[in-house]
Amino acid sequence: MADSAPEQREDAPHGAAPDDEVIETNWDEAVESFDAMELREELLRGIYAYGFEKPSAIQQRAIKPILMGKDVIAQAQSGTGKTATFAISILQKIDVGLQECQALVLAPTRELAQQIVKVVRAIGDYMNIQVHACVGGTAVRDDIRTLQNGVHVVVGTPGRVYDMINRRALRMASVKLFTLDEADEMLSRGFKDQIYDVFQFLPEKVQVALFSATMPLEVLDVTNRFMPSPVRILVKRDELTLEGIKQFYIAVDKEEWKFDTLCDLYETLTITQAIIYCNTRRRVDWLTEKMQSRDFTVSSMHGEMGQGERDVIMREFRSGSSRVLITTDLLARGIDVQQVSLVINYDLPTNRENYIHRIGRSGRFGRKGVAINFITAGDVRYLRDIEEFYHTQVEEMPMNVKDLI
Amino acid sequence: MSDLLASGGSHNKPHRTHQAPDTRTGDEGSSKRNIQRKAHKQGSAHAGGGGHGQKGKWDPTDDGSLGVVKLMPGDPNYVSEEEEENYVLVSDSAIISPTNGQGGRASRQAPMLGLSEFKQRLSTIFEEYFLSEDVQEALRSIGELKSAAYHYEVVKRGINMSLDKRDHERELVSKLLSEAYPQVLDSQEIGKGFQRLFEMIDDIQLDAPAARPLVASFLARAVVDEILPPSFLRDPTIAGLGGDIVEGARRLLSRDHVLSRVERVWGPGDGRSVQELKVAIDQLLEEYLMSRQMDEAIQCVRDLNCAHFHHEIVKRAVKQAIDKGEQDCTAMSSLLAQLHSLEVISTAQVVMGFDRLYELVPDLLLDMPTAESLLDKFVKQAQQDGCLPQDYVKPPPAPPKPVRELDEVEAEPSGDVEA
Repeated sequence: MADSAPEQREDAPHGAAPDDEVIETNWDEAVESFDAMELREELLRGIYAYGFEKPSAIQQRAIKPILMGKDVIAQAQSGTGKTATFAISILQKIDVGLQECQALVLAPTRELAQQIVKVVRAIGDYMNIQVHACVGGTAVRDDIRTLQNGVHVVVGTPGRVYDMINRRALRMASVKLFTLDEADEMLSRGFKDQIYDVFQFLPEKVQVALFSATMPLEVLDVTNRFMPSPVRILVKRDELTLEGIKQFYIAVDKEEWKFDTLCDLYETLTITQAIIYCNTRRRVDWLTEKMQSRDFTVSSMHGEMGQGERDVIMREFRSGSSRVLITTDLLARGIDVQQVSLVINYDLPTNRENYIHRIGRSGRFGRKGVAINFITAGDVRYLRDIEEFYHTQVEEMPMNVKDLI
Repeated sequence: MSDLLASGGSHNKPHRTHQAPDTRTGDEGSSKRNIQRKAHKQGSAHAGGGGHGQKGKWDPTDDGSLGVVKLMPGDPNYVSEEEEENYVLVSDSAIISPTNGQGGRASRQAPMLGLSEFKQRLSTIFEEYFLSEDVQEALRSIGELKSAAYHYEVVKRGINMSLDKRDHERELVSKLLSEAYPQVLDSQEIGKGFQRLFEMIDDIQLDAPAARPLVASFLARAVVDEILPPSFLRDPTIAGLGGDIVEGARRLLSRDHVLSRVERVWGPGDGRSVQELKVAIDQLLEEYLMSRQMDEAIQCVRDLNCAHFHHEIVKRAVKQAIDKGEQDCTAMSSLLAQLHSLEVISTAQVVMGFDRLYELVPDLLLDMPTAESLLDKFVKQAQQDGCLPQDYVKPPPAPPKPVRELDEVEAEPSGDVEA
């Protein structure tokens, strides 16, 4: 990488920035365990109970400077553990005894705001902490009452938060840490003015943490304006890839033949472990029951399971107590399925993006894997679409598939 | 509708016995929901016709309901059936008439669920639908909630949820509304759903600044899909409520050749096929070479919303440029560099794009003897710009593969990178 080319940030974290569009890392210290982060004990308990074992790259690098009180710009995509990064930082910084908003998080959508709240609550499970999602829909009056009673952490879209400030429901005087999540997305959704408006109400000395997958000029404007000498951290996510994954199809012709085909495969599946994807929860329930009625051992995720329960199922599955797991894209979301080397698409995903989420692997796990797609006559054209989209090849399943697993 | 319900019923029945333990958990939840429903009934009595009574509390349980619903007692597909029984057994049976099982919308029975419960179930149904894209399954699940009186909520909630998402999900909602007509939703209910949206648009807009134009697009699309009569937009009450949204929809509909345009109102990122994506890619690249407006081109690439297909953009960009002049090549190089530096296109995709180009070399050479050296130049520039790794090694040209059915359109061999 010893080239004088501009914009070398990909591989050269220390490369000089030729213009202000380039963000470089100027913080290299990585803390490799949560124990070493000097966190409060009940927070640490929450982290481990949540299922984290080791901090991700961004957590290793960003938590410490935030806890030291520095402004932090973290360029990180979703899937890198960024939400937990600021959740942990926030929880460590909060004074639980002070019933005031001490941490404010802005997010681009209601949906993301609610997800953030869930993560903060889950990790802060052993702390007596009040987190409030400031999103539309809830009766505004209830919202105001909750906020006026005082909560420790407020999460919302910029527009909603500004509205609550305007209504004098949200006091900003005690805010210590201001977090902007997915700043690029917020700006592209048209929240620029609202972000600046919210800033105006924050105490002058507020600490700012900004997370963004990309750093377009608009985001840099924000950082330049509100973060005088920030720590910059760049964490590239390993892109999901189909490389190294052997992809096969089995032409089943008719929908009804899928089940028998799966039964024939069962022995092969249990050589290793397998995840079977269906497109809907109804199909998962149906298939689970049908497999069980034939005395095949399978586990599956239900719609009524919360995230915690799903994690338990997944952990059991990972520990090897069950070898076949039936699920949907929705149920498997947010669950680490990367280590399973055999994936069956009982239903071919209609949504192209799901295909790579089901069977792709990121560099970190760069393992070999095998994916088997059940294809009815009607699916052929979707399979071709997928092949072209990912520029990959799905071949007819050979007889010796056992040797490949 | 009754067909849907009937088939749903027969499908579920065999499972119910096995689901016995779940029924118990359903019991707990259902008594709570009973209270909610009563509360709601009182509420709506007071509200007296005006949507206003609903407005403040359009979703009192919304916390978490856009994501995975934590209060969700269970899979609606099964529990709904069981709950119906629960209601008959434990709750006021007068509310649920015995014919409900085959009634459905036409007979207009009282809804099986309370409104807030219905909304939560609906959210889960939409969450799944956004991933599964299975319209029939979604409609069937909605039907199984047996709460036809609330079906206008499908419009409201589907659209509202899609505002947090992307064009692809908006297209899916438009598609679902269109498929839901007329069995699950009639024009009146669709109109009512939009009205409710108008009433709360100020509130929604706080969280989604683009809400108004987006709802206007939904509205125009509904008219073009013939699920709402054009007269809806001229109704003075509606126009009064909808204001600039209705105005926006009318404007969209007043353009020439409105059908093809509004039918694809969500743009190239609506989840269209690979073939159609290629057309969109060519168009944006050609436009860029003509106009040299980089920002516009970048926005177009973003709108495509197909991160894993960006190799095709790289391939087509270079291919188009080398057919033209040096200036165009330079312009294209800077576009790729900019796309990469803004992290719209990843390094891996650039690499894959160039790999594919080199595989095409034998074919390109037929038309242009200088193709390979032009390609080398592109690679060098890309390496200088930092979008290709310095150690990029061009792959050997792949032997031409048999042309497959779908590739014929392109008339080029499809290569295999991994090979």
